[in-house]
Amino acid sequence: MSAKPKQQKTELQGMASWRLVLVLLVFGSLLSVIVGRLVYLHTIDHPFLYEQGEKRTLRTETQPAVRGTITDRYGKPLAVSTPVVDLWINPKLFSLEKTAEVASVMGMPAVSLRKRIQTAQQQGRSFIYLKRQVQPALAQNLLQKKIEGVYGEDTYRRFYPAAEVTAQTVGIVNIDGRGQEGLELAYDQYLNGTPGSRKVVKDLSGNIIKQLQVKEVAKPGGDLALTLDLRLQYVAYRELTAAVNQHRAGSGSAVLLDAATGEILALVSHPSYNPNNRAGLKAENMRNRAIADLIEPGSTIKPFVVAAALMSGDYKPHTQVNTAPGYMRIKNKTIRDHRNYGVLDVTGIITKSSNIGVTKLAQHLGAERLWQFYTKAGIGQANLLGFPGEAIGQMPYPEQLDSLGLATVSYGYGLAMSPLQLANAYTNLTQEGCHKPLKIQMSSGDTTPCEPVMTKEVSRQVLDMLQTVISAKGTGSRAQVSGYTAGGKTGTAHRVGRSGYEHDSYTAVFAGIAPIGNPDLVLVVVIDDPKGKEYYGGEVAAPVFSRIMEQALRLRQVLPDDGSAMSIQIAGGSL
Amino acid sequence: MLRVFLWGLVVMSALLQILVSHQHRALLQQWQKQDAVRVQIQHEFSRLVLERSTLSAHNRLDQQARQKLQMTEPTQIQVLRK
Repeated sequence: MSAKPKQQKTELQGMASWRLVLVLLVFGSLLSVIVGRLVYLHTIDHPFLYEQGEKRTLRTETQPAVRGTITDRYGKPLAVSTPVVDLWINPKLFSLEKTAEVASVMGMPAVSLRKRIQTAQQQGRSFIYLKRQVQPALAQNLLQKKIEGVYGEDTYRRFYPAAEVTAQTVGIVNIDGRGQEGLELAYDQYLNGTPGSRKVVKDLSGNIIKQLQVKEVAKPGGDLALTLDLRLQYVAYRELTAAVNQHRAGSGSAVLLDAATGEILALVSHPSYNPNNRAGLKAENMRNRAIADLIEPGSTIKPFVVAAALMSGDYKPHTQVNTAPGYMRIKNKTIRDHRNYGVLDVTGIITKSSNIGVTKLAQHLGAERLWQFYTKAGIGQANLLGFPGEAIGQMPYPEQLDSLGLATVSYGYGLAMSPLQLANAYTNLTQEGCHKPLKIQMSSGDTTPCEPVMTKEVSRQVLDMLQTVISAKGTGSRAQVSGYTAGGKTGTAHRVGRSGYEHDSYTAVFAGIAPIGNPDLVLVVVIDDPKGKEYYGGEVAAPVFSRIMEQALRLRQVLPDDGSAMSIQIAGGSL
Repeated sequence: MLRVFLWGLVVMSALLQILVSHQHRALLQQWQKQDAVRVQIQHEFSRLVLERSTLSAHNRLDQQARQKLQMTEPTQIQVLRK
């Protein structure tokens, strides 16, 4: 019994010796193949594989920054960015059989889309836009189908709720969201913000599993609060549009300023355009006429000649000036009044808008003193609002003014300014004779220094003279504002054509202030090239002034100060 | 002894790293969800702002007031004083 197992054992051992070696060899060689492969992959092939792996999982993601909102002074939106999706196709990955499906979701004609993708494929391009600025819901519909080669990118579209009412002032952006016109361009850097970017690891289905590095945090653009009041802007636009249509005028513009602070409350021009729909957009309508166009102010400049005369101390409001016989010859040119007004006092010169009267005042002052006064009042000076296309006025130097030139600049010819500058000059009268720059952006502290132009008394005297203009005997009686006292000055200038002044083409201007006792608003209305029978500033622009002013004062809740307004006493009660 | 202790530290820090990277992933996922919510709310907000400003557009109000409510501008101005 004992010999058998022993024999078996030796047999087993004998057999095992070669079998075991074989098995070990096989396993050993398999192991060494694996180890060899591992070593190979980890040493020789490693850089290549590592790079490829990173390429498949590592992504640099950019996050678009929201462009800041532009609002009016009460926070009503004037320009808002809404999210949209840019859809694009990689024609190399896109199979043409899917064209019909894409086209049906997008509501695009399949034939032309197919042609577009086919040409792109032939050209070997790997990027074409399918459609830009698509509504997020629609884009989601398409992207959910997960068609290969179709991608979406989140971006923003600019929308302007007030449309044509604020079009030229706010401006527009291009399809890439950069400012093109108006304040969108002027404050582009500030509004735009900076897009963020980060490095992430993504898994197969596109989920982020690890954030490696934040290169830049997305910074949303700043919000811009303007001094505009959308209600007043709308009123001004409506009345201006009505007047331009009624008089079949070429264009018009209006500027409404806060009399005390120089803040721009309304800035409109007509014709306008719809910034939300750029089909059929005309470049000329994009110009902000109140800022970019130069006009000759005509008689609206006369209050400043009178103010300069009063400041010289040689004249008082009741000083007599002889304007007879109603015309005057200077250097072969005849300056005329409407008729012979005879002897007028200084107030009367303004009331009747006498060219002879102001010419005599200007001659007494001389070119140097008049020029200095105009310059201090901001006439022919840059506004420096930073508006693109902002016009700088033109005012000849005193050495360039001969006796005729001096006479013409005293009644508003031979110098040029924008309606905005004219309005700014009128704020000198309402700010107690002080010149302050205009403001379009809301700011907390009112720190801008004030340059004295004339004394408080002179500014009051001129305001009282302006009130006589819109009395029944003045040239601007149609500018009366019901319920309020007002003052202003009419102006009519010949338009400048190819060969000098055009004979039968005019610019009608009215610049005024209300209420005159305690000025709240300054308004300048310019109607360019009215083609009806009426063309004088007092006939065309003054009624617009009246309508805008009345509604604006009411909206601003200014107490009616006209004596004719009926007053209701409430006994003992309190309101 | 020291060797055992150091090995223990190594193993522990390795385990901690696993834990921390797991937490990182969880937090990242949470953050992504919240960010998606933020974007969605932002979209909703800008849509509502536009809707409100379209509905309260001045020319629309003007028309509605005149046509539906027969309102006009006051003509005879009366000032209430106490």
